[in-house]
Amino acid sequence: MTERLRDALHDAVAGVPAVRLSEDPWRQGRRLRRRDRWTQGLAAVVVLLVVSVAFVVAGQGGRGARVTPADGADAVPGDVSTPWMWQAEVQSDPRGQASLLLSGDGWGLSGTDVFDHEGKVAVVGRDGSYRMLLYAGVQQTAGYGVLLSPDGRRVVSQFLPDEQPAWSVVTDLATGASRRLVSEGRDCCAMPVAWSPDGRLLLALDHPRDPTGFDPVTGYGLVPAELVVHDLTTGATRRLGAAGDLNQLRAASVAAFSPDSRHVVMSVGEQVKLMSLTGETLWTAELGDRTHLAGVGAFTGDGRLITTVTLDGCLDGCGTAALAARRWRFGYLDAATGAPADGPVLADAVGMAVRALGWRHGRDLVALEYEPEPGHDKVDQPMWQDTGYWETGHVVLTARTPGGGIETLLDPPGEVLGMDVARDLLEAGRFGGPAARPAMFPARAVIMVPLVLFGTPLLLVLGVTGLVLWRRRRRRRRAWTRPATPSGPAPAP
Amino acid sequence: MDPQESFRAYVDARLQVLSRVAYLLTGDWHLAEDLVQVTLTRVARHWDRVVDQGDPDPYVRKVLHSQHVSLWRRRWRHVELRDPLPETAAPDGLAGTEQSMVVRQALARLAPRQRAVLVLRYFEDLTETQAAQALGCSVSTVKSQTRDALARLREHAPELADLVGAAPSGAPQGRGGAR
Repeated sequence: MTERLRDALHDAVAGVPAVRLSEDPWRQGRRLRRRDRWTQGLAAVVVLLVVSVAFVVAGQGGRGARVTPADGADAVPGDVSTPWMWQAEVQSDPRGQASLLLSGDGWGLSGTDVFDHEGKVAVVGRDGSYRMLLYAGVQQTAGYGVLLSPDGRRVVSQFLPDEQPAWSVVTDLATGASRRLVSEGRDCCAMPVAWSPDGRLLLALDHPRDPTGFDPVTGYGLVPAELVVHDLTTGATRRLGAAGDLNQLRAASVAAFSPDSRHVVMSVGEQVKLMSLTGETLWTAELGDRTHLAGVGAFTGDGRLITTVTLDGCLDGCGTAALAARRWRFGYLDAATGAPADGPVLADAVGMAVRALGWRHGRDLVALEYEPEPGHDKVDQPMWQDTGYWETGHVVLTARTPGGGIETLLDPPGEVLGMDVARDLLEAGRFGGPAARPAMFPARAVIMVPLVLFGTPLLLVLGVTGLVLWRRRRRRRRAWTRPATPSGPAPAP
Repeated sequence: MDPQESFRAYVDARLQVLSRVAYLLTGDWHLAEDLVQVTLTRVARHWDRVVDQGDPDPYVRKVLHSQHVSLWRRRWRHVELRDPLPETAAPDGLAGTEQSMVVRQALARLAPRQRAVLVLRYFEDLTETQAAQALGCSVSTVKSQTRDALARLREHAPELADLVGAAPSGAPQGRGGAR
C-alpha cells in the first residue's frame, strides 16, 4: 500500500520544476543575520541596564536594616549614605531621636531641577532610619537655619512649607508634629543659629521679610538682622543687638551659647561681644578681618575659653586651589575678660573653612571642615559664604585632640555639604556607631517617577515578549491540528 | 569550502527536491516559491553553524516545515469563512494523470501537520523518528497523524482507496477530519 502511495506522490509532482528564487537567499539571509545581531546587542544592553538597575535598587534596599550599636547606646554613625530620592518625610513616619542632620545635593538631598526639587534635609535617626524634612525647593543647610536640638528630639527650621507663616518652626521628631513660633507677635522671620545647651532657648537672627534698602555699591538688598534669644517655653524674646546685614554675615561665626546657657558670644563686624541673656554687654574684643569666632561650639567644655580661628591664606579673590589651601589656626579668648588666652594646642585645619561644633569629653574639639566646590571662587561677591551650600564641595567631621592629633569621625558621601550633630552624643564622645544605610521604604509618592521611568520599559518588554510567545504557541498548536479548508472540501482548481 | 560557495552548491543540488516538497505541502505554486525562498533565506542566516553540524538536510527540512505552518497561518489569518477560497496556482506545463490531480487535491484537504507527515514518510522516505525530528514532535504523534491523514484521505477521496488501503477493521471512518 505504502509503495503505491509513494509512487502516486512522486507522480503528482513529477513535472514540477525548481522554483524561481526572487532574491539571492544568501544575501537576504546574511542581511537578516546582521540585523539579528544588532537587535540582540541592543536587547542585551537593555537587559543589562534593567538588571543593573534592579540589582542596585535591591542591593541598596537590603542595607536598610535597623542599626543597633554594639553596646546598646546611641551613637553618631561611623558612616552614612545619601537618602533615597523618595525617602519618607518625618511628618508621615516619624522615628524619634536623631543623631545627625544632613544637607547637600544629589537626588537624595536636593532632587533634580526637573522634579522633586524640594530643598531637603535628611534626619538620621538613632535607629539608623532616614527621614526627610522638605522645604519646597528652598535649599537648606544643616547647622545654619535648620538645627538639631541638643538631645536630638527636635529640629528648628526657618519655615516649613505646609505650615502657617511662622517666625520659625520646631518639629518634634517623635510625633512629626510641628509647632509654629511667634516672636513678639510677629510671624516672620528668623534664621536659627544655635540651641542653648539645655534645649530651652533658641538663638536666632531676627530679620524683616523684605529688604529695607539696597546697597548703593553692589545693588544687593539690605536685610538688617538682630541677634535674639527666644525662650521656647514662655515664647519670650530678648534682643541682644544688631548683627549686620543677614546676607553678608559669616554664617559659621555668628554666635555661640556658653555651656551653662547663661551667656552668648556674638560677632559684630570684626568684633566679638559677650552678652548676658538680659542683653547686657559684658565685654567687647577686636579680632580683625582674619580672625573669627570658631562656631556654635566656640566655648570650651568648661566655659572658661572662647575658641577663635585665624585665617592664614587667601582672604579675597581666591580661586578653588587657594580656598582649599587656606590654613586656620585655633586661638582662644578668656571668657571672663575677652583677652587673648592660652588653651589646648590644636592642629591647624586646612581647607576652605572650619566650624567648631563642640567639645568631646570637654577635651577634644569637634569641628566640621569644608572643602571648596570647584568653580565657586571668592571674587567680589558680598554674599559669598565659606560654609555655604553653593560654595561647599564636601565636608568632613573631625575631632582635634590637644597636642595636635586629628581624628576623622565621619567622612560622608560627596553629596553631603552640611551636617549638624546632636550635642548630647557629641559631648559624650558617642561616635563611630554602625553605618546607617537608608531603607527604600516607606516612600513618598515621587517614587512613581523612577518606577514609571524604569518599570514601564521593563513591563513592556516582558509583557510584549510574553504575549508574543503565548500567541505563537497558541497558533502553532491550532495550526497543526486545523484542517486546510475552513469550510468543507476545497473546490477543484 | 567558502560558506557562500558551499551554500550555493547545496541550493543547486537540492532546489528541485525542495520545490517539489514545497508544492506538495502548499498545493500552490506561488506559495511553494515563497516557502522555498523563505526557507533558504533562513538557512543562509545560520549556514556556518548548519554545515558545522554535518548534513544540512535535517535542519533545512525542519525550517521548511515550520515555515510552511507560518505561511499557512498567515494566508488564512485574514480569510473570512464565507469568502471564496483563495485560488491556487500550478507551475507552467505541469502535466499529470488524473490520479495526480486527485492526489494533489486530496492533500490540500488535510491539515498541515497531516500533509507534512505524509510528505515526510511517503515522499521523502523518512523513518518515523526522522519525521518526528523534522516536525519537532514525538514519534507517537507522527504515527497518529499518519493514521488520521490516511483516514481522512479515505473519507474525502474514496477514489484513492486503492492507494491508501482499506480502513482497519473497527477503526472509525473519518477520524482525522472531525477536528
